Amino acid sequence: MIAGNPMIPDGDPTTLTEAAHLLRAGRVTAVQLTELALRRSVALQSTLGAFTTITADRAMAAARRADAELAGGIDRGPLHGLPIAVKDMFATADAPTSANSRAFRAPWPADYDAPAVGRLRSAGTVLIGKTTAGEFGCGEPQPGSGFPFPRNPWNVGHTPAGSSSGSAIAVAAGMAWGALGGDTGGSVRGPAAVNGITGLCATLGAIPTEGAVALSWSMDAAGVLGRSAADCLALWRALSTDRHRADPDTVTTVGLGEQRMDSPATVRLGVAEAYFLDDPDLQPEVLSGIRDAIEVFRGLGADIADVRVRWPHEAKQAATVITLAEGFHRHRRNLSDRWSEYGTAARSFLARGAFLTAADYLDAQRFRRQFSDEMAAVFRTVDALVVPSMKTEAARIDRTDLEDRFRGRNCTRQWNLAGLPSLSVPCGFGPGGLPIAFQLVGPPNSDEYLLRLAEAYQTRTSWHLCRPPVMSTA
Amino acid sequence: MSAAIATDTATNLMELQMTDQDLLEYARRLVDHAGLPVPEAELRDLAQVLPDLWQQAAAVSAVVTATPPVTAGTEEVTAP
Repeated sequence: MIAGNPMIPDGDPTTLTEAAHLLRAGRVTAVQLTELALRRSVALQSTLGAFTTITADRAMAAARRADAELAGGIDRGPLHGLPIAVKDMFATADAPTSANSRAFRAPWPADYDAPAVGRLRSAGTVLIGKTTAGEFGCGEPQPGSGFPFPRNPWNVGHTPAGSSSGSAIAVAAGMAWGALGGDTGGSVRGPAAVNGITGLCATLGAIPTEGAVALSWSMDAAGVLGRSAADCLALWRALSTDRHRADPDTVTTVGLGEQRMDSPATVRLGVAEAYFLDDPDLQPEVLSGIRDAIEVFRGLGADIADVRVRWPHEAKQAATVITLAEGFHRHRRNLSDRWSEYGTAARSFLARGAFLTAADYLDAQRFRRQFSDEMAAVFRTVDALVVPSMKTEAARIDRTDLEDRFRGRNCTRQWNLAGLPSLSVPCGFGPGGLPIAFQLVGPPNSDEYLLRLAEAYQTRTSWHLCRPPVMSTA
Repeated sequence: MSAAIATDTATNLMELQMTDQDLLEYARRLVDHAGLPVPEAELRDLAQVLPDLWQQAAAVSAVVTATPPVTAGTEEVTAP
């Protein structure tokens, strides 16, 4: 039985996978898909602020090239000819990179593509623009920054979360069929969760982050956003490095041995009740959405076990200490020279690193090893963990408490600390009608395994196919 | 307050139980040392987050302290 509340319109393809199928069936062209994506992007820009730059001319040229290649028998794979958006932290040869900051000066030549962007181009994608983000990846964007201000497409009075805000909005509102993001503490999974799409924070280092604006050198990971897990899987396969990518037919992952994922019948799924599900701050709708998701997995044949994760609170704090210390180190000279060019939220965040000592930082790094060992022990007993992505649906934009923003409503930072892949999957709607999600977490290099687990879940549910009403206006 | 120096760990700083004025002066010294031109109002806001920040760092250090490293070369060495 299909659960959820599908609002699937006739006409344009909802998922990247569907768009790829229509393209190959000759029922749509890359040019038509790109025209649709650009039309929506332009029409919704003033409302949703998803883009810092829309590269319409170059996108149309790329789409024409993709169609010509397909007509000539050249097929670059499942992403060929599909409009994709890129977080404005990654260098692209056809558009400037802003990092959403007036203080940023690009350290690379104007015609430089970050390796991840180069991989997307090699896969035949059509890059339609650069997406808005939190300044230098520091949390959520702020109004008055001089850059377009992103808003949640499900309710523009609410935040799209950050920092990969525009990437999530673009996918959720049908302006792109996939997007590239960055995730230091939840910047892909948070926006994915509150915008109702699927988002993977890849295993640390699995998607190259060279040519991306760094926040925290030892914590920065890249990720992908798509409407479905299958969409994210196609993006993941195009972007991940060979040593991290599993054979497409036989998933080989650390801690799992060699195991086919045709069915989740053999999956041992850990549910972290303590700290994560018994958190009084967890919105009841989020909790029931996760409980329903667990039952879907159980119905698919997964074994469910309660799992205790040691030090989840300290792990979140250690991730904060490391990010602040490394962020301050990265920005120290710029902050000194161009303090007033930074937005107030970013400079407040980054300056906190000045208050930490080398001993604090090193303790956090030592703890990181302990926590990674702890997670390795957890993944000897289960194949993946189920935890919340965000504790609540998206908050209102007009809340002004900076500390609340920094403290976060996420359950994501812990996994960055251990370099683990983690995936946010839509599982319903909150009390205000905004999307909610759960998170799957696995051992290093289990990215594909998690995506296929979520794919199995999404064969039984349709939350990921729901589209925000604002799409009907464009 | 005079005992607080820039190399103190968060754990030690928390134990000093600084007043708001102490926190402000401590924050001022550190941002001055770092060469950050922080306006006074922002400095006051930053000073207020110090206890929370130290608490976070101290909680992490407490776990590390409770679990001594076993890696060779990191144990305390005592002369025979």
